[in-house]
This record gives sequence, structure tokens and C-alpha cells, in this order.
Amino acid sequence: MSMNIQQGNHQTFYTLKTSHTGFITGAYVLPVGSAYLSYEHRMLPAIFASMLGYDTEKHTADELYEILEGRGIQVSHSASLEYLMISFRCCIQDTAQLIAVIAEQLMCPKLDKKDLDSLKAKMQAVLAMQDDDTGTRAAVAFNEQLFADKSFNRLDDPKAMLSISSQVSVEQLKSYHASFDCVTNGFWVVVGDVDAKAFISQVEQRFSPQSTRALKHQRFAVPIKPVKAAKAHVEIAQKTSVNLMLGHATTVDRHHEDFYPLMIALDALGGSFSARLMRTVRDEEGLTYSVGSTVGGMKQNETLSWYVYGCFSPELLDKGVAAIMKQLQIWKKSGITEEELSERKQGITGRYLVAQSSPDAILRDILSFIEKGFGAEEIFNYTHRIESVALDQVNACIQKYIELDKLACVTAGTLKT
Amino acid sequence: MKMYDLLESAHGAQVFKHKKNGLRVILMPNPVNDVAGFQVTYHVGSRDEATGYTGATHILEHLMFKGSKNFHKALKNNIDQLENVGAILNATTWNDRTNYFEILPTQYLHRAIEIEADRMRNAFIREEDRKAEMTVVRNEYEMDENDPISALRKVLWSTAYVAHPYHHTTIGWLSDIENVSIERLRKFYDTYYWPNNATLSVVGSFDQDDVLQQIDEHFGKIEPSSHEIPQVYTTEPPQEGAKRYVLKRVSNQPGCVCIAFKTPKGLSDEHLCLQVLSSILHQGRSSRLYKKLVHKGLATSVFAEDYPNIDEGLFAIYAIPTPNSSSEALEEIILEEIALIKKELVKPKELERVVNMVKAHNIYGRGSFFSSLSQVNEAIALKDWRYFYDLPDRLAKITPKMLQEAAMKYLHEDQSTTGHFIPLSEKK
Repeated sequence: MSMNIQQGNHQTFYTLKTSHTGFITGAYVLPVGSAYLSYEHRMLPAIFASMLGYDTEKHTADELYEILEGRGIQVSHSASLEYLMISFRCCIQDTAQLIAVIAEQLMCPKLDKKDLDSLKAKMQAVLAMQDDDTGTRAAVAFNEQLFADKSFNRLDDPKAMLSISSQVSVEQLKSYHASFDCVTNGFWVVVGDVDAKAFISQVEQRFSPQSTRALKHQRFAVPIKPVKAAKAHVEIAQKTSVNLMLGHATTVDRHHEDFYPLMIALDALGGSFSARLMRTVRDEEGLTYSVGSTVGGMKQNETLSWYVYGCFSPELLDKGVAAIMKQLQIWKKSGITEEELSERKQGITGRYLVAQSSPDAILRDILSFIEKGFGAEEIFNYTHRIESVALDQVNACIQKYIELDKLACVTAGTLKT
Repeated sequence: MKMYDLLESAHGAQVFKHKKNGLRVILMPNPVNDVAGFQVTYHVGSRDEATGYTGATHILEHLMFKGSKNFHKALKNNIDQLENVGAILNATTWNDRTNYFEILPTQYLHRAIEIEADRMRNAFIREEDRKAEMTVVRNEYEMDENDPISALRKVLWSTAYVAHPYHHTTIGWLSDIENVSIERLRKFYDTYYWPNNATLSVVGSFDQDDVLQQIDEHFGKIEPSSHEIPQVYTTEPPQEGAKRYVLKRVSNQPGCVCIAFKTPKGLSDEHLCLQVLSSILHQGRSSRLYKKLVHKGLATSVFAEDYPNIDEGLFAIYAIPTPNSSSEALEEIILEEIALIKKELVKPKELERVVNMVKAHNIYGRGSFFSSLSQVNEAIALKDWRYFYDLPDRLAKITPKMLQEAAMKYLHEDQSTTGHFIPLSEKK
């Protein structure tokens, strides 16, 4: 497996030919995500992405999707802080058709008011569902405790998203679309049974620049809030399970030398069935179906948070928190063992190898590494970075970054009777 | 391999039966990298339960992770230790089957084989483990109940089916989860967990002879059951009229409607026709209901349950309204579309779209061992491991006329069950 990185006439192409036959999976990516707009207009890219699934100036959505789905081609549109992204999967003989549709959707979307109204109605229902979801509400409230207002790491509250999205107009979408060129600065990542030369040629037949317009970041990382203990509960009626999040922000970002040691420390605490939290809080004490720990945040290279998550029956919540705290205190006091480190490293690198059997997972990793500023080839360095972590680094990180007296503890569900 | 009978070679796979104990083995090589997937599918699911021990198959699945004679925590070689060499492992329970799987670097495949063989007959199944795990399973039930649409689905099946055990969902009723005894669970294990009631599947990169030899070494020494494996004989009495129900809960969610019809047995051609009709109605942006409901902003999503079961099942369409609509209005439109699909032949282009989507899906499936194992697992449960591989050929024989006949026969109001989730603003 080797990565081919090629600069085309206007775009960059990352192609990785694997031994999977007959199909490709990939994405076309433009750096025009919500960090390129003001905070007030942060939902524009996501709404614009959804509008790409409607009519174009040349065809109705019905016509386009009959072409795509009539061949089993899968296309989806999304936006993140950094990117507008068109993801796809298709059989190799359908590549030209796929590229033609993506080009049309991107270059001449109709952006019709009727379609926007339809989309807003759907979003209203989706956001209402999120507002009723204990996991979403706990995550929103937890990040509010950890990160400053307008931080990239904050998650938008469903109600706030509803309010912002209701104000988006067709004119704003058209203006956003006109503010960047859909070709210049774009890049493709394609994995699977890909013929790089043929793919680039097919793209360049369909994608030619209309202008040189490009966006610049308008939002930047926000300084982190001082870490301090906090407690919050989001009451949602008639829920039988409570979501818990427990942790705090740190000064470590994705490029920090302590990132991997801290990640491994959290993997040993609660990264899988065989980690400490699942072995004790679930397996021995039977207090929950789901408990674990991980790193979060790190959006647009802001710093990371670490947290423990879990779901509990309301009457077992206090016991659950106590059981988690017990494990946190042992972990903080004694760190992890040499044997644990060896197991976790082998587990992480083994799982990575397992994931690499899937082109979808390879694509996801490449996109993530590019977005975090490492470059696509980082997929070949990842296991080495894990393997090179030493025990004293892991345990020093636990001592340095974990402050158990400054935890934010957030719950969402039904606690009032 | 002299210990096996080769039963079949098809679609690049080979199926063997162990001569001594009847264990079936399906080998599906796909050497993309040094990774393999191993799976045991037991032919036991929530269909094999009755009142008092609904959910037993699922609780037993949890207890299978508590250790077995030669692999347990005291020896520090319990199955979850496979995660420490990179395995992605888990188990699932469904109507007609229970499966345990490990996807891991090929060099550790032998460990997965050895552990699965040991827990086939030597699992602990202890009372102290049941006590600890009962609350775990109960929390799984509670998490599921957090979602009103999941609750709506639960009531759908218990309303549509009154006699057949598909009446209850796989997780079971709460009071059964809390009270089922360890003796009952042990009996369940001793009834169904035998090599002659199991099928192994291996996918990915592996040496065929080596794997068959390892399977023989570890599973081959297990005797077959000394009893016949019990089969469900309960059949659902005929439904004599439409059923309706309502689920009310305090919720910010926008409501939901589901409309379901009884289907024939999963392996029948008529069931396949209903799956095609389901796709024409709801799958993808070019489907009829997507265009009518979602594209127009009346529903935020439309989805269906149309999978095959061993016995008769349900074809259910769900739709979630936007503020521009209501679950009652969506019901009306869905019924209009169903009436239309009975009245007029579907267009050949619509049928072709479904066939091509299935073909492409099968090709994409080669890119995920998890997907390969999951697909063959469901096919094994149906007792036709080739089910998904054969779909393109079977679909090619389906005609618009066959679809219309299936629609007329099965999408009949008297055979329907319709449910509405009504969100309440506050508890009454």
C-alpha cells in the first residue's frame, strides 16, 4: 500500500490503491468550513452542504439521484469547522458519472427558497430530537463547563442551532457560494481500486476554476478557561437512563509531545472492555452498560479535554460516580503498569491494523490527519508513534495533567421524581 | 481435510461440516491485509424464549464473557484480553440467532478459535455473574427506552404478534430481565450451545488448511448434543382486522408513525418482493416516499424494517414529521403510496435501481470484514448462508407483476398494525 500525492492543474490528489477490488471510497474537500465565517454565520456551511442534495441549475434532485442510485453510487455532503466535504463510494466503472454529478452539485446548485424552507423544517425536527437526547445534552453541557464562549470545542446547543438556522436566507447561501472557487484549493482523497492517472484526468475534465476566490479563517482558537470543579445537571423528562460526563480541559493540543502518552493513559483507564473502568464499574460491580474514558476537544488545534463517560440507572448514579472516582484515584496515585502499557500499545496498534483492512477507515484516518495538520502520510507513522511511548512519559502525564479536585461533572436525564 | 465433509463451494467461499459433531464451517478468504475475522453463530435467539424468561438469550450472551474453564480472569486470559492484541470483539443477539465475533491480526486467530471452542461447552454461567450482569443488561434496556422510537418499535411487535415469540423484542421484558434464574439460563445454555447447533465463519487473510486444522483441534473434540435441538412450533393465528395503538410520553421529539404489515417467511420469493417494494418506497433519495415526504419537508426521515426472519415477520415503515406536518398526515400519504403500488405496476427503472443498489452494496461489503461477518451471520440465521450472495441473481428474476401480486397479497389493511408516538409537553 503506498500513497500517491499528486498536484493536478488546480487540485491536490491523494490516492491510495489497496487490494480491494471493484470500488473506490473517497472525498472531495474544500477548506471553506465554519471557521472561515463569523461566529454568527457558523451554520452556513452545514446548511449549504445539505442544500447540495437538492436541485441544481441543470437538473432536479430527483433526476440526479436517479442517476446516482440507479448505479448504486453513494454521495453525501457535510461541513465541519475546516471543511466542506462531499463523500462518496462507487464502483470503478461509475467514476466518471460520480465526478460529473459532484461537479454539477458544487458548481451550480440552485439554492431555491422552497428547498431551503423544506430543509429548515427537517432541521427543526432533527434538532428537537437532539434536544431530547440525553447523550447530546450531556455533551453540550459538559463542553460549556470546560471551554470558553465561542471556543471551537464548544458544541452548539440544539436550541441555539435552531435559532441560527431559522435566520439563514437563500441570499446568504448564494453569497457564501460566490465567496470561494469550488476548484482552487480543493483536494481529493481516494482509497480502494483507484487508478490515479485516470481519476485525475476524469476530474480535470469536469473541474475548471471559475475564479481565484478563496476564504480566509475568520475564527481563531480561544484561550482555555481556568480549570475548576463544576457540577451541572440537564433535566429531561421521562428518561430511564442518565448520561454522565466527568473530566476537565488541558493545555495539551494534538501536536503536543504529551498527546500520545496522555491518550494511552486514558486508553488504559477506559479505552475498551479490557480497560480498568469496564473491568470494575461494569464487569465487577454491574453498575452500567457503558463506561469508558477518552480524549475530546482538539477542534481546529485547540487543546484537548479528557473525560469519563457512562450511562446509569438514576438510582445507581451515585454508586456509579463513586466507583469511577475510586478508579480515577488509583490511576492518579499509581499510574499504569509496564504490563498495561505493553498491552495497550499492542491493542492500539493491532486495532489500527484491523481498521486498515477497510478503505472507509483508511479514508477517515487520512482525512483526520490532513485536517489536524500532519499530512496524509501520517497513516504510515501512527503505529510507530504509539510504539515509541515510554512508561515514565505516560505516568508523568497523569501526574501533570489530571486534576481530580477540578473535575466538571455533568449529567443529563431524569433525576427529579 | 479428512475430518470434514465439503458441502459446498460458491461465491469464493467453501462450506464444511465436521464429521464427528456436525459443526459447520464457512471459509471466506479475502486477503487484503494480515487480518482475519472469526465468528460463531448459534441457532438460538429470542424466538426460543417464552414468558418468564424473555431476554434470556441476550443475558446468556453477556454471561458468556464471564469466563470459561480454561480462559478466565484468574488466568488473565479471559476473552477480553484479545483486545490487547488488537481484536475488535463483541457479540449480538437477535430474533433467530446469537453470534460472537473477533476481528484481529491473523497471527492471533488461533487464540480466538481456542477461546470460542472452550466457551461453547465450558462457560461458567454462575449466579454471582448473573447478579452483577443483570443490572448491566437492565441499563442496556433503560438506554434503549430513552428513545421513544425504540419504544414505539417494541410496542409494534408486541401488538402485531400475539402468539409467536417475535411478540417480545430481543432484550426481553424488564421483569424477566430482573428475575430470570441462573438455573433457567444454564438450562438454556445446555439446550442450545452445541457444535451441531452452531456455524463458524472465517473471513479475511488466513491459511485454509491451518484454520481447518485448528478448528478440528479445538472444536472437534466437543461431542454433539445428546438431545434434539428444540424447534419453535408456535405459529401466529391469522390476524382478522387492522390494529392500532398509541404511545404517549413527555418528549421534545416531534412524534412518529409506523405502519406495519405481516410478511411471509424470510426465505420465500414473496418476502424478497416485499423487500424490493420497501426499497422502492423508502430507500434513497430517489425512492417514492423520500420524494413525497422528506424532499418536501413533511418528514425528517423515513425508514423501514424489512429484514427476513425464519418465520413470518413485519414490513414496517416509519416516518418522523416536521413542524409542517403531523404523524396522522404522514400516515395518510404512506397509505396512498401503498395503494398506488398495488394499483399500478412499478416502473422497470425503479426495479433496476434496487437491483443495482444491492449489487453495489455487495461489492462495497468486500471492504469491511465486520460487514462480511455481519451479513453471513444473518444469512446463517436464516439457514441459507448464501442468502446475500445470491440476492442479485434472485432479484434479476423478479418482475413488476410479481411485485404487484405481493403487494396485493400482503400490504392489506386487515393485516396491518399502525402505531403513533404522541409527544406530551408535560406528564399528566
